[in-house]
Amino acid sequence: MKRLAREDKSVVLVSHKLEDVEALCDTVTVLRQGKVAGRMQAPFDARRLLAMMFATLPRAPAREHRQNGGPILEFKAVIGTGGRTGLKQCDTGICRGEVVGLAGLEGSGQGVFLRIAAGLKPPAQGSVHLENVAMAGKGHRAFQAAGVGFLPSARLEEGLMPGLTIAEHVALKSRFSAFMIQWPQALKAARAGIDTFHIMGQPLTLVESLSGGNQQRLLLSFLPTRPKLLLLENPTRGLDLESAMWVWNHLLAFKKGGTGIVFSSSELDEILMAADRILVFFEGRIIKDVAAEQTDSRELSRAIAGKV
Amino acid sequence: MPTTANHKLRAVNQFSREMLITLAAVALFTTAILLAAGAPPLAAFQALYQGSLGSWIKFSHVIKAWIPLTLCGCGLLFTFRIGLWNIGVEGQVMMGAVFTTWALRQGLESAAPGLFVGLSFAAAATGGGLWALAAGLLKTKGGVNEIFAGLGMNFVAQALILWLIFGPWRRAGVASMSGTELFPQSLWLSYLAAWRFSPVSLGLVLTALGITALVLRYTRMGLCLKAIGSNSRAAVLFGIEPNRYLLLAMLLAGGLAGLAGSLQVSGVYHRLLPAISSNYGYLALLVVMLANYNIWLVPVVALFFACLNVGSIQLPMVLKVDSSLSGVVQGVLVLATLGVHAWRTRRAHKA
Repeated sequence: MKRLAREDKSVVLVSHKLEDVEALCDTVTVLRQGKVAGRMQAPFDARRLLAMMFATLPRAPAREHRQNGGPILEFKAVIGTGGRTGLKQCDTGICRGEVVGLAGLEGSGQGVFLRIAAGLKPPAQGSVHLENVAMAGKGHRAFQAAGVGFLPSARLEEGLMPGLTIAEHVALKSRFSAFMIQWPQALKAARAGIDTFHIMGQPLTLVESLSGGNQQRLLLSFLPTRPKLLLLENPTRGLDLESAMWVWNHLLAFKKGGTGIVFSSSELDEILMAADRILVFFEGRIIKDVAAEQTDSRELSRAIAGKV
Repeated sequence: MPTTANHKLRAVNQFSREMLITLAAVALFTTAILLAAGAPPLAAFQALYQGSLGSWIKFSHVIKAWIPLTLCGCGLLFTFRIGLWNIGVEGQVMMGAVFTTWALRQGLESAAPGLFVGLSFAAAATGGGLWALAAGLLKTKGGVNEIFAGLGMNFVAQALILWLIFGPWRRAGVASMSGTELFPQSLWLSYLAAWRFSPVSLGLVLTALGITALVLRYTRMGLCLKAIGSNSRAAVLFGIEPNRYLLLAMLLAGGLAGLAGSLQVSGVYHRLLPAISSNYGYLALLVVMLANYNIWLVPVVALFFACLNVGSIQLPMVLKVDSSLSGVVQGVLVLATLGVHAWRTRRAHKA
């Protein structure tokens, strides 16, 4: 394409991949809902481009939040097993109201990090603190009670229970069915959740027959209403753009209440768009910890490949 | 949880189709085997019918087999629901029988034998439950597959029974395979002469069916079992601790199997026999699978198996063929059930 351009031909590239746009284009025109949302000349400011693409994103200056928030989650010398690489000697902290994106090749330690932070996997070594309470060795229920929500990327394999209906999931999640299940109440709550989260389904729909986007919305409806910390693994994988935007609008609304959000994603654009701070994982280690506004996709790509 | 009416209708349709296929497969294979053995198939089928439903006496024998089958089936619904293969159910029946014999022996000299009959139920449920719990703990603590643990413990239970019959509980003078000393009638479950089985047993089975249905459908515990059986990793995210429910399901299954063993002693044989469990535990596994894990079909399928079981006993006598033939017929039934089950699972995976 560069060669075509040198030969005095005009090339029009349609893409939502910022990396491609940055590598190939001289000028860019952003279209949103049939209207021109903005124009820009190279070199591009990725965050401004994203702001043009998704005007609806509730974004606040990240630095301000970081100064206000104390630490919610703290990892000290944490070592974890599992995944392709495990997690090696991890020291980091997550603050109130902070959105942290985990970048890296699939299975470079992000999954292990999130699972240790959720209490789904005990650390082999090191300490995990939630608001200064030592949590290492406690189970997921204790983490849930402390206000931690976890969203796995494998929706049907790890998040939902195939063969069970939406109402059955709701009944399991709700507190009102301690011994006997109150089916009328469960059905009512399921209907309410379906309305609030725009799920295309009925209370008696089996979860495996929902589309990926609707499964994700259902999972989101099960997150705690006032979480302290949300841990999300590839929260928009496999979703169309509209569903993905819906998911992010929903998630970032938690931030106002001081919720810390940690998410992994294989899409750099998504990380640059949503995160205040980015941790890059390589072979089980965090090799880069950087504020989102101080980096770009090119630098992140190099870090993901192990070149800091 | 009820699914939509449409769903239900389709499930019923599918089940009846599979049931018919199984029956057809059984009939086909049995016919082939009968022909090979030189017995006329039609006469054989008639003998099966006559031997099970031909008279009130025969039918009461069928009910006698139906009772432990259904009790074990109820218990197995809990373990299947959570995704466990509780093959140790056979040993749990045996331990129920052992604990019952022990409890009744305590009541031999008692002035209130009824108390000890009642106590024997509790002892049996405890014995069967603990035996199952041991297999469960081997799985949760030791990572031993419940099938191997269960099978191993079946052998241990069988050996224990033989040791008791030939050792501490042997009959005065003669220790033999015919079991321990017959209990006095005061320690038998009361039964009506015309029935051949105790109304108490029947009441217990019906209660077990009702409670099992209630627990599975309307309690949080029942739903948790289903959730773990479907996806234990996701169940954890819903705040459920799979191991706790795993042990609970084993305990319940073992308790009900123990009760079945208890009735074999106090209601049927009135003593401890080496073959006290009569393979009803193993057979109940097939009953529940063939019933597609549906509680209301379990008693129906159990009745069918009980008919075959009882009806085939006199097959060799009537047809003058080798007595092993009834075993072959039952074996064919087992294979046909497993075959249809495998076919169903494969089709479900494809869909």
